[in-house]
Order: sequence, then C-alpha cells, then structure tokens
Amino acid sequence: MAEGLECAEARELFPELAAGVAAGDERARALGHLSDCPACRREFAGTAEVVDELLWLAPEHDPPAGFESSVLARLTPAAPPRRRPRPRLLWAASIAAAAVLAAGAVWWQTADDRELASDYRHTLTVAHGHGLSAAPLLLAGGGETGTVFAYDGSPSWIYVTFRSAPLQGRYDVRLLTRDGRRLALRPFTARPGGTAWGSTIQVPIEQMQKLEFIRSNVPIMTANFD
Amino acid sequence: MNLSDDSLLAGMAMGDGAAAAAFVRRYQPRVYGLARTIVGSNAVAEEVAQEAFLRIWRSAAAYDARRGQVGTWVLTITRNLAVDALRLRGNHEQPIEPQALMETLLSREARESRSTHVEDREQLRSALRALPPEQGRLIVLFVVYGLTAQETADLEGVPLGTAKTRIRRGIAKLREALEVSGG
Repeated sequence: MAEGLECAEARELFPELAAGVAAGDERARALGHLSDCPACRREFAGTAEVVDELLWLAPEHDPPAGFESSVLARLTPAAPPRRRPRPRLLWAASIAAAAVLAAGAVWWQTADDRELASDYRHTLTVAHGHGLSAAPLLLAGGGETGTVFAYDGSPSWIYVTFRSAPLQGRYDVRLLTRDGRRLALRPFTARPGGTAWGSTIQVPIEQMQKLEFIRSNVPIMTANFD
Repeated sequence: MNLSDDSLLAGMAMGDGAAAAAFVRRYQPRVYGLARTIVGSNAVAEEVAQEAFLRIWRSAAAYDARRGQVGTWVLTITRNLAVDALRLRGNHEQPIEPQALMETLLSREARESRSTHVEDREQLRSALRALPPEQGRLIVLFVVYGLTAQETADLEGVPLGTAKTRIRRGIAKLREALEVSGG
C-alpha cells in the first residue's frame, strides 16, 4: 500500500500501540490498517522493537530470599493451563452458538448492530474459526444473569446473551487479558427487551481472562474465563 | 541441560513444575528488577513479580512463539502488572522521578554481561543518552510507566501534539541506533 493519509494516520498511533496504551478504538483502527499494509507492518515492527528493548534496560535485581519457593507454591496448586476444547465439542458448541446468534439477531435494531450481526453469521459460515469458549455472566451479588460466548476466528468475537434485559442504560465493557492488558470494547446500551450484545475482539480467546460490564466505574456483571 | 525459553514454556503449558522452577530461576532477577524499577518498593515489587509468574504459568499454553522473544513477553506482562499496581495505589500521578528513572536505565550493570544482546542495549543506552533530556523523559515515562501520550504531556507540561511528536521522533532516533548496531 502506498504511503497515504491512512498510513500517516496509522503511524501516528504506532508508539501508543507498541507501548500497549492505545485506546480500544484507536488500537482496533491501527490493527485493521496493519492487517492490510505490509509497509506499515514493517514500520510498526521497528517501533515495537525499540519499545521492547527499552524494557530490557531496567537493571536485574535478585528478589528477597524465599521468593522462588513462594512463587512455585502458588503455581503448583493452580489448575493446569487451559487446553483448547476438543473438535467435536467445538462443532457442537458452534452449532449452539449459531442458533443463539440467529435468535439474538432479531434484537439487532440499529444499522451498526445489524452489520455486526451479519459479520458474525458470515464468520461462522465462512471463516471456520479456531475455537469457541463460554463462561457464565455473573451479577456482582453472585447470581448468574447470562452467558458469554467467545469465538476464536477471523475476526474473533464475543457475544453475550442475557437471561433478562439488564437494567437500562449505558455500560462500559472491558476485557482483561492474561498478560495484564485492559481493553475497552464497544459500550453496551441496554434497552427495553434487549437481551444480547456482541463485539469483535483483537486478542485470541485463550488470552481472555475476564469480561466486565461497568457502570459508574463499578463492575455490575462479570464473566471469568479462568 | 540448559533448555530454551520456548521449551520451558511448553513444559509449563503441560503443567510441568520442574519447567516452571527453571523458568522462574532464569527470569526472577529480570522480572523483579523491572517491577522494582517501576514501583520503587521492594514489597510491592515482590507482589508484582509473583503475580507476573502466575500469569505466565496460566498463559503458557497460549504463548505464540511467532510473536517474538519470550523475554520481551515476560517483561511486558511484568510492566503491565507493575503499572496496574501503581494505579491501584493511586500514586500514578506522581511516579518516581523521571530523571532518576533515566539514570537507572542508563547505568550499565556488571551482571548484564551474561545477558544476550548486550551490545544492542549499550547502543540503545547511548542513543537514549544523546536525546534532549525532555525527549528522553517523555519516552521512558511513556514506555516504562505505561502512561498515555496525554498523561506524559500533562506531567511534562507540554501540549499533547508536542508530546506525541517528541515521542515519535525520539523512538525513530532510537530505532536508527538499533538498526546501525544490528547492521
């Protein structure tokens, strides 16, 4: 791709993207551009290398005595790392998710939402994604209020079905990853009768740790993918 | 036998405690050192370093070797957790003196001679040292403390556009230095 306004705009975002501090929408736009522009991918790789190398300049320092045994004591009782679901279960889960999506699509009322739902159906049909996972969506008090489906494909996405319409209003949606990043996803505006929400994500589903629906800086509904 | 980082991570993905022990032993000075550099407290740094190894253990199966060095992935996890720890404690608006952080990063340690890419890092230090101080400070605040461009601009008392331009141009100069160093 020739150097143009789109490249110039994307390159403005490279330092923040490389440092992991880009806002969710900017991050998505920059990654979208990178997927189509080999020249910018090379340019971004150079920026990321500098950012990575700067972290290596921090001096090494021995931790206090007992550190290693403390760490290992926390690791070994922990559950083994998650494995990918088995293909047969994946296939069954994909069919279930497709049914959920077909039902949930009725709810997509705005143009943006219809487009997103269309993307999802198209992805399921064509993309043959890599994996699917699900987790219960819990209220702050502990009750289950819905289910979160996470699909690993191109693009990857998450889709939430609520058992009943959540309290009306706007929710910020945040995805926490296993490597400590906090990604802002598209907000969710709960409307009367609305029982679903979805968003594309820029990380593999194995990297998902927690999804939060937040109002007034307080997580109201959360799903853990541990 | 001195197994590669990738091999140890693969072992950890299978739940192998011996691989985890070797991995922790290999990276603990680096992880604890970075955490200590960022949070400035031994106790908090220890918490951060422990949490970092826990995250690495849990994410080992998802690590994609094509994404680059294991060590860089480890340090990025550590940096993110350390920055979170600072933010949770509410003292992110007053981080460690940027100038003190610069001096820490610019000091070469004797023990570093056992690490790889020593020459690259020394070249990077020289390039960082050669930047105007205000530009170097912006870059380390941005990269090491995980501040946004707006936050670095506010801290340094410059307009957002100026901060972004200085960061971008400064990183470009550092990149040139690394490219010269790497041939």
